[in-house]
Amino acid sequence: MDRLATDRVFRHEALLYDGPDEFLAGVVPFVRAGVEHAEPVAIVVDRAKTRALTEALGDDATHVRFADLETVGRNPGRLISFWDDFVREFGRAERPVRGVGEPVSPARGSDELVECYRHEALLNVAFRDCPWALLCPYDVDALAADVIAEARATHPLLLERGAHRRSPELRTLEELATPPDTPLDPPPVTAAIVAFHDPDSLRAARQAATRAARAAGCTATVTNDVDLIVGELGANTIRHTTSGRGHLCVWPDAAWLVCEVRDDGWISEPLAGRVRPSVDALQGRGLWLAHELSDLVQLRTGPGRSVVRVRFSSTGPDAPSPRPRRRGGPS
Amino acid sequence: LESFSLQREPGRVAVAGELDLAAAPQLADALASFDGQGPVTVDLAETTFVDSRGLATLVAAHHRLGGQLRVVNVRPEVRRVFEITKLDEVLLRDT
Repeated sequence: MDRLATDRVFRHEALLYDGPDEFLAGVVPFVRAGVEHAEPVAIVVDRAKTRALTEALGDDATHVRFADLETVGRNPGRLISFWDDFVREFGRAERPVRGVGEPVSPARGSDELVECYRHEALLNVAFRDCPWALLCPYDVDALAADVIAEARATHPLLLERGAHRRSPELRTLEELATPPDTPLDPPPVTAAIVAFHDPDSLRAARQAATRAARAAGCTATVTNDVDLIVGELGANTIRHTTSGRGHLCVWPDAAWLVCEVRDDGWISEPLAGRVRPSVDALQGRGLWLAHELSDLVQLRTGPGRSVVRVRFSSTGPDAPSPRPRRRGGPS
Repeated sequence: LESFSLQREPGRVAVAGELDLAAAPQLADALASFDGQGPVTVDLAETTFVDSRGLATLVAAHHRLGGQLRVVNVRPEVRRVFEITKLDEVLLRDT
């Protein structure tokens, strides 16, 4: 493993731990080694683990940047952008950086897990020429066997019971760059569907989406985000597909509002939307904003078809609406 | 019904309505007419929506004017997209 450390490559390692002691025994030495070499270290874990690590690291914790997983990584599609920002801001040729990120937890639903696998796979693509080290803890006791199998398939290195080794199950870089096109459940029959093909019809689609957002109990800020993202996805359809035509589908689902844009385009770049465009970029912001402002992005694409399904948090249709309702009042 | 309108004066453009993919080329034309004659102020007091095409139009004009473009009077709901893209640091310098 030391050879890799000096190879100036991206060192992407899964820590397969069983219980809190093994978690700390794997993460703390990795962080301490970074602090000792004056390497910038960032940690993205949940609040309980942030507390445990802060305590275990003692004074060394003051040299570590902690970010809350719920804030930066609720949508796993946002994490490559987060790490890219960190590496760009603090990394230097002579000074690598280190990160610890645990996006995969038993609290994730199955469709979130699929996007976490995609994120873990695409990390290898995004940082293939970038020398830094990322340690990804996986709770082998709490996670299902297929989740651990994915960890073994997407991490070149494994740290298990104190021993580092190369993963024999690692997929090729080409396979990692083309994650499986896991099918999405079809939208419910009650979903609102709006076809669009030009700025006026796209505006009507945005209005349908914001109406649904308000009805689902989204906050004013989230409703604004829904408006922007539907506009962005629809503008991509109009501008970048052969037909220039697409469909918006929108529906509430438990504590989310789901917006889906379908068209005949092909988003062939695997990292599309996952890396922050430079401030002077003239394109590429739309899909990135969708990842940045939503809770989950499910992108499914191939020649002649693309589906971008985006999930936003809402209070759910049964919760009290944040806007006063005129139901039951004097008429 | 027009969702967008522009008002041009020397050194200043006021944008009203939605700065989306339909409006962005019109704003680009208006800003192009200032080339070499900065500084230019873009007033978004009456702008209710800005998408990435609108942002790209402002970024391109900012370059062409050698940085002599600033955006003022941004509503809170529109400011968010400037902040997330970090374009607030480039385009929304207060004076």
